[in-house]
Amino acid sequence: MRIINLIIISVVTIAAITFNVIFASPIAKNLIEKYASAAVGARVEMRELKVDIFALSVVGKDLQVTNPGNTMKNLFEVARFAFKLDLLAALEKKILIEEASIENVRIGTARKYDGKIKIDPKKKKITINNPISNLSDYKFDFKNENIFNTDINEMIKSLDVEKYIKGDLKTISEINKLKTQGTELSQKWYKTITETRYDKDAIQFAEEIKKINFNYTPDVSSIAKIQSDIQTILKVKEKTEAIIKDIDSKKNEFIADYNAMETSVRELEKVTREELNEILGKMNLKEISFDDIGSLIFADGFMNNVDKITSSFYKIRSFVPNNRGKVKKVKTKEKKVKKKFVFGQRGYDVFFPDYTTYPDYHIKKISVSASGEGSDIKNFPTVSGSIYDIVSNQDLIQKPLRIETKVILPILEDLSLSLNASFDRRDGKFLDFYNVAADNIPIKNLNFGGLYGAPKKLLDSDGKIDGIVEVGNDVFKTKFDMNLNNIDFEFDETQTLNEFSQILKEIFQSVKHLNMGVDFSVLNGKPSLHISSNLDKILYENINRIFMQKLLKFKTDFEKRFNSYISGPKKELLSQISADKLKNLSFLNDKNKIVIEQFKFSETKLKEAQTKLESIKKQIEENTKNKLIDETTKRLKKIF
Amino acid sequence: MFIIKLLSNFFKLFTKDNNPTQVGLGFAMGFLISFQPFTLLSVIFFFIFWIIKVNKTAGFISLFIFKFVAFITEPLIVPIGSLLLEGIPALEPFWTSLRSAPIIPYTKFYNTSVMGGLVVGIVGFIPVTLIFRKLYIIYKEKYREKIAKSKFIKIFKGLPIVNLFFKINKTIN
Repeated sequence: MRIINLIIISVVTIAAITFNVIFASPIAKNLIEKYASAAVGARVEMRELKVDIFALSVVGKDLQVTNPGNTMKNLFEVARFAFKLDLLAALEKKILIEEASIENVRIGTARKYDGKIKIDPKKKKITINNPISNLSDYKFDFKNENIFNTDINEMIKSLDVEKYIKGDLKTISEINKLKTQGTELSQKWYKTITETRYDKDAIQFAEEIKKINFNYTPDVSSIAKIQSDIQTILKVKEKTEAIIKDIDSKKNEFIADYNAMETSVRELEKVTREELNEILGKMNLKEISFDDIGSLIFADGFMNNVDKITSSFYKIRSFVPNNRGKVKKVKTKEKKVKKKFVFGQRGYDVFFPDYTTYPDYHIKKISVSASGEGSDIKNFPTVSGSIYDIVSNQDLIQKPLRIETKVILPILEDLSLSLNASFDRRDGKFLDFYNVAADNIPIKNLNFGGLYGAPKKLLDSDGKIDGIVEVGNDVFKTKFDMNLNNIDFEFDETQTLNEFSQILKEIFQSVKHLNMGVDFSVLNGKPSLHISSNLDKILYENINRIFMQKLLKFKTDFEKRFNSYISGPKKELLSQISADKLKNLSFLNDKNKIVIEQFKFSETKLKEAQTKLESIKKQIEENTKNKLIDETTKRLKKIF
Repeated sequence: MFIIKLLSNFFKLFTKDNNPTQVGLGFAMGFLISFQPFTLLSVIFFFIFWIIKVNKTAGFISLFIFKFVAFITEPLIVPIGSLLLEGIPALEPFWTSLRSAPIIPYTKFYNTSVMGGLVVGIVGFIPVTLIFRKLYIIYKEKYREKIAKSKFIKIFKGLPIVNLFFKINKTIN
């Protein structure tokens, strides 16, 4: 009897091993191929499938899934896939896979033979529920929200661009006014300088003084001459002083005109600043807020596509398994209701709130790799990454589903992009997070149109992107930061630019680094978009700089021109006047000195002459008296 | 064939010399299993019962008898299980860890009837072994001969169907 048992056990064991080694794999392969082909509607085949019933492992090679739309092509091809089931979990009818791998997935590869299959019309076609049909009802409709000023015409109207292009600016009229004022002044002073000839007068005066002969003879006749000379000298002195006074008054007038001109220039500066601030204010650049311009440039495009963008994220949600199976319940303080015993009923199950069990299925890790090898798709990206914790109920493992991938994009010079995502379904959260990061993105040869001084092309730049997306039932948030460095623009140098376009060109020329942040969120149905960038700062700084430069240039030009008209002659005039004045003064002083000396000498001589004359007079008088007395005496003697 | 073998062993139990301890253990195993509903635990107990050297006939007789007893005493067994599973809070973490462990939940230990039956089975295992061992010794010494020589047994042995049964049993052996 024991031998029979042994034989039976041995036979069963050998049969099981034989089945496992010889039959299990082909049977599983055929079954999978048959049902998968029926499900896809085209041939699904594998070169090899190894199933180990005892080890609960499956390894497949060269899986090809034919594209039902084009049976000479594969939907995708997998070089190797492998996974192993956990035995203990399997005993509980649960699927637990520690690690699975799907290697070298290739999409759109060509088939060597037709992958068409005959579908029995009698057989009910196997339909697979399209997860896309389970889309969330979440719908975005921003058309009526009116939160974005995206009307470009309205924006242009408010900015009054035409006015600036035409040059109808206060600054321009103020500049013209100043130009007129400057021209008038320069003409006036040119005329004044040309017409003013003080030197002639000075020479004339000098000549008049030169004519004076100071060698007076000490006689009475000299007195009149000396007095006449003194009068001449005083007259010249008076005239010279009048010239000096005139020079001083003209000088003061000139300084007043010059100051008035400077005040006008300062006034222009003030007007320009005010107008610039007004323009910047209209462009909302004063507060360095990018809302209007950001919305103007980006919001339209963004909002037009927001439904597509968001719905694609909500499509992904339908692929993430929802929690099912036994859910860990939160402990409550509620009193347990005593079960009423019914005779014949074999007791009742006691519930332990904190107990955990294997989820219905749990794949801890799947390593996936995909490449463009053999694919018809050009520049197929190379993808490698892992998917963690695909589980029927995340509450049982307290971990969200995570995806970590590295993507190399040949289309962008083998740009390396990292994409991480997590799908959290714990405690009814229903939250998805995406994180995208990429460095050294080559952004090249982007056309800008080249109108109004804008660049023709963005030749080259290094890009960097970092962004997150949060998707929930009542929330959609996305925050992206994009940085462009080493920006190099190409401009159309043949284009004739007006002043406004020139400014625009200068602005673009100064842009070497650009960053842009998009912060879009929808909370409880209320959307908000904030686009930030350093472009506003660049615009503000550059417009300010260019305006100030232009103003400074104008000021310098004006001063230069004004000086060339006024300042040169002014200097010349002043130096001439000063020189003449000094010359005349010194000459006059010298002459005056001589005249005064001569005058004094003449006065002395005059006094001497007068004294002499007096003494002669007295002598004459005495002599005359004596003579008269003598004569009289003689005559009287004669008489008497 | 199994039934013939079982009946044969049944007769052997009452007519031949058997180890009293094995008989006692057989009864105790039957007692233990009969207080269990059909779960992984009862399967394990049955497997143990099958592989260890105990009197299988005694076990089956015990199983048959105590199944009725267990059914009748169910209202007493369930409160015992309930007390252990729900009445002692200190044990709750232990039960939770067992509930979370693999395979063990298949024993349905968290059922009040299973737990109560297990407690009764374990507690009663040694007393039942000792009692039935003693009873079998008493039977062997005092009543076996008398019963073997009784008229009822003689008539029973003379029945053609019984003779046929013994012939078949002899052929099998």
